[in-house]
Amino acid sequence: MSVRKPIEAVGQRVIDVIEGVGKATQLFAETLVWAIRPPYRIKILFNAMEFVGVGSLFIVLLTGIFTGAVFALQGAIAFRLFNAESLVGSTVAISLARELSPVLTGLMVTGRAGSGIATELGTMRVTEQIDALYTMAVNPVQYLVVPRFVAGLIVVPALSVLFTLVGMVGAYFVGVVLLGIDEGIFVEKVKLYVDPPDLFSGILKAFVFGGILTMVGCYKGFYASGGARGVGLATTQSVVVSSVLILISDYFLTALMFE
Amino acid sequence: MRSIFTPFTVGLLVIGGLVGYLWMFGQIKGGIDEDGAGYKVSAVFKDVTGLAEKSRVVIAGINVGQIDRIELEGNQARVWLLVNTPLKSDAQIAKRSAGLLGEFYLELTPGYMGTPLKDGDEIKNVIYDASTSELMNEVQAITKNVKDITDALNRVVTVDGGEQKIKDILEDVRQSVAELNRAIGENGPKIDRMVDNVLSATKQAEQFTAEFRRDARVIMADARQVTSDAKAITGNVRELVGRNAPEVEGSFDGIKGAVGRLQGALDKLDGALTSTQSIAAKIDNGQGTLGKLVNDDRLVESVNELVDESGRFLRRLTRLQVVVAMRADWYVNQADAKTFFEVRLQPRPDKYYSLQLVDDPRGRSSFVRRVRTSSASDTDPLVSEQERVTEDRFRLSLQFAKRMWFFQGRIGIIESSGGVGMDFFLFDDALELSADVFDLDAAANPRVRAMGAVRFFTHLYITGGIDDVFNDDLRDWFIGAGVRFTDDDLVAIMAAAPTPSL
Repeated sequence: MSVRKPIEAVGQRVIDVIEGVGKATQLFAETLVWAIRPPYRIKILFNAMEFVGVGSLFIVLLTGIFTGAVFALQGAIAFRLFNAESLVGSTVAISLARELSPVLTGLMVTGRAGSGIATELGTMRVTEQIDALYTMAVNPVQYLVVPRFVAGLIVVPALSVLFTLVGMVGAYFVGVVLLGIDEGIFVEKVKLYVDPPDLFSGILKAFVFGGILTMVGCYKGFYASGGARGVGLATTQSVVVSSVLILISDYFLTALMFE
Repeated sequence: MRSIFTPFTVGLLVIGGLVGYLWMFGQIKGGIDEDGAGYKVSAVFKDVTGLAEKSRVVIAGINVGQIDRIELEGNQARVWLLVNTPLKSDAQIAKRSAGLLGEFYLELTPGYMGTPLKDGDEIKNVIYDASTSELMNEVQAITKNVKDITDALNRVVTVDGGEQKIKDILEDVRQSVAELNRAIGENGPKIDRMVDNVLSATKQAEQFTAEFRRDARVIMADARQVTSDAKAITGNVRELVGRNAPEVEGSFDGIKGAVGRLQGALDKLDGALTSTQSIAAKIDNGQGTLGKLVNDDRLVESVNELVDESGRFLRRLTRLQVVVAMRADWYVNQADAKTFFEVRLQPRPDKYYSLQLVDDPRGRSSFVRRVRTSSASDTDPLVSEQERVTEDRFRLSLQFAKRMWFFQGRIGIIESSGGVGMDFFLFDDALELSADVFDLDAAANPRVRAMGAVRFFTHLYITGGIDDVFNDDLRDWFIGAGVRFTDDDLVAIMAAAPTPSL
């Protein structure tokens, strides 16, 4: 008896994980299916976009401007060793466009909107509002998950682009205004070394991350259980899982796109 | 409110993202049009380290394309370029370093002749630059050399007082060179002359020695002859003595006398030879007139100086130009003519002495003040009268003139009174503007004459001007003509005439 219990516990965990993956995949598939099926709930979609995008705009821009600034500062210190400060602009621009903007935007939106989605849906679950939707013959996936998912796909890339822009503004301020790097060279090197694929890969990543963070938030909230504590747990888990997934998928996306 | 607000803010976000993307895309897309406005050419490189796909291809620093791909071909690399500018078959390509961090780009020279390159053609002229590592090796070698040199220098300088010694040496060298320079500069002509003198003296001595040797030989031959004659006489005497002893006895006294005379002759010959020797020695030592002639340089120097002086004198004489000028001016108010005859002695182009004879109908005016005492007048016992007296129709000018570029100043006696003048030469001396101030008399304004002369046909000239500008009653206009030429015959006369010496 005493031997079986730990094994059972471990087994249960494994089963839970596999079950979780299955449920998530099922939810994802359902979402994809319901996303293309009418009725299209534009108003709900806009509300979700406002919640995910406009609500995260300020924090994303703030993060962006300081990320660019600190990167320029660190880059300048390092490049100064080689007398190559002119490369600061292009280095920051490439880093932002390819990696920093999508990843940090993804993490920021996760922290602010992904957790919000999990909380909202979890609360609806535990207060049986989702069950109520079924009784009203409204598919909760279509009504709750699809708008949030689509909103994530649309607004996170947009936020990522803005992150890059303000990041470059921050880098410009630190590099040219504070550290006195030649303005013409700074801009010229950015134009010289940053290629359209760099920008495009960043946007593609942001698109994927937008899907991941809304999907995880929806999943965790959708399957929350155990009252208020369960909702809190779902929220925390959604943030942790989203962040980890974003970073892992970032590696694979990079490997896929640049190698 | 919220229903309107939500789509608006969301729209702003999406549009902002979209616009940001498009703007950034537009910014970084500058350069080559990747859609294929360019064409591909290739070049084979030994080493493409530092080059990568999309590396820049520039002409004169301007982006004209990028590297499309790099592929291995045997043990070399074929680089395909996508360029958007026309290239000729003599185009050149070179790998250039954009910095020390190992970043490289390709530099094209589009070529000037040959056929235009088409898609897929190859650029044959690949220029290999020294790579950074090769450069570093070179620099290392150079650095080693520099180090060796500085070490050596250091050793020299760091010994006790080494630096000061070097300074001293340099100073000494500088002084010596300056000294030498000065000596050569000052004594150049002297040294030349010394060498010439030495040469000529040597030659003379040689000549003299040769002559002397010839003479000595003759003397020696004579002496020999005398000796042989004496020998023969002695033989004859001996024979005579043997044969006619008694007669000899008798005439012995006579022979004794003859021998005595012979002895005397030989003594004289000896004396003559000694004298000859002594003369030769004296000549050698520079004693006596002949010796001085042979050994003393001063005579040669004197001759040299004399020749130099003569040369200078002749040069001065041949340089001297004598200009003869004649002129007549018609004075309008006076209705009379004024005539000039002038001889100019011009030792140098920029100065001359002028002697001018002037025949002036107006003559020279002077003022005489007479004071008379009158007893008839109570109120004004003294009568003062001033009278202008004109005399001396014929007058003389003697002037010294010095010219500087187009300006010439003259000073001396002008028309029998002290004065100065100046001339301006314009249009290659064809136009001459002159002003003379003379006849400085306290009673009237000085006589100022301004005139212009235009030269034509080399020797002829016409004049025009205004005389006595500042004296209203005497002011007069004049026009005239003249002739002026250089006379070489006069120079010859001057040379023949006795020259006064200072």
